[in-house]
Amino acid sequence: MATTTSYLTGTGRGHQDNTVEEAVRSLFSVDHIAGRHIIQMPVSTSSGSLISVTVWHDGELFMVTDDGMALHETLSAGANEQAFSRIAAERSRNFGAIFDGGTMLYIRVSKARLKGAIIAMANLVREVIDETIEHSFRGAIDRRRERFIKTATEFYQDFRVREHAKLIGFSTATHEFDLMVERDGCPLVFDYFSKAGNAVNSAYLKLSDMARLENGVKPVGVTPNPDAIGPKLTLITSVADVIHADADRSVYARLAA
Amino acid sequence: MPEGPDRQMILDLFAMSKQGVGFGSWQPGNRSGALKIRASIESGGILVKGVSLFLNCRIDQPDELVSAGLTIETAYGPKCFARVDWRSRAAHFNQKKICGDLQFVDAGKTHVHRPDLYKEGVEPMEYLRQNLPAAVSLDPAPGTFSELLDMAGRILSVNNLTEVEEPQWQPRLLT
Repeated sequence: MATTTSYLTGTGRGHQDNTVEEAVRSLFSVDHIAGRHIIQMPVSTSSGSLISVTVWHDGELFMVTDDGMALHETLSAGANEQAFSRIAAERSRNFGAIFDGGTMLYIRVSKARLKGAIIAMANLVREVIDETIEHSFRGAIDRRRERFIKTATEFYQDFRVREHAKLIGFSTATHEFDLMVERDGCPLVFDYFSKAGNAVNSAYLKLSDMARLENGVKPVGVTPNPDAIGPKLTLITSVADVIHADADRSVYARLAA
Repeated sequence: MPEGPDRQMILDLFAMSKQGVGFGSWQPGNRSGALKIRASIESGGILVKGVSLFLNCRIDQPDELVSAGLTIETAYGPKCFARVDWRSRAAHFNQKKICGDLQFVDAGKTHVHRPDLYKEGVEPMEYLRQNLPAAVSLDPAPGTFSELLDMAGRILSVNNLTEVEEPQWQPRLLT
């Protein structure tokens, strides 16, 4: 049986044709639960969950919503609700939808626009879920700190360099520093800190304790954006040099001079 | 510092006999309609570092859209590594190559994402980043919330999951 020929010429239909059509028909499905039409769309998140869109009608007008699906998916992936809310609000604005804190909606949609609203909602849901989950994998590791460690380690490769170096300060307390470069007579110790108040205080405590030693240790503060710290930066600069986390090699050369 | 756990650690955590600690009652989200439970995990008398149990559902949708799973701490915060999804709104399809022999298979609306579905050589961060792309259908599917707890408890090896109380669902009166 030459089903391929039949298919191409359209002169007959083999059971494979029916299989294809059945698969295509099953791409969509609609469930009816408590007055809601829950439409499974042939659109999926990057993980493989198909998107569903829920439709209600009120007279001649329709409400099209994700009915909380996007939030449920992102929470179950381990993403946080705040990030979801921010991204959902922003994307809903782009799509002209309403976001009520947990659900995205198109309200009072006319019959003529219903199909477009269902397609738009499915794509809105997909964008929000994928973006929220992707966002949850960004930012937690401070890439600038890692870049600083990499750049400094490469620059000082002729010296002995230690990460997470533990040193005893003037107060006899032990402090951990991000990086220590051991060079004759005057080790450099680097402490990375953010603009957060507690981070600045902690850096000051450590760097000042090292600055009071008389053995020639040179403490250096490293921060991603010195301008963002405000007046508290003077606390750090009163006891240590401070460099930008993205400083170029010439800065490291001056420190080593 | 590694980004996350290695394969063997995940498989061991999944398989080990454990209990949820301090389930408490379902907590509502902030205006969102979500209900959540979060609990620490205990095994062999030790509260296990970095592993948590969660359950999620919607307050206005009784007996559907419930997820129960386990998370592990990574460099990016807690990420889900095993999950049972009960009566999701739409089916899960195994789409990606990482799904191996399950690629293109329909896992249905009630399914389980297990870490042992990925072949050796696939590092956990690959599938954690993709929000668990592989799943298998749960057949027969649990018919009630208490059946779900019983089945999910056995799948996730959480011995006392049946102690979780039924959510205080508030179905919509008007649509």
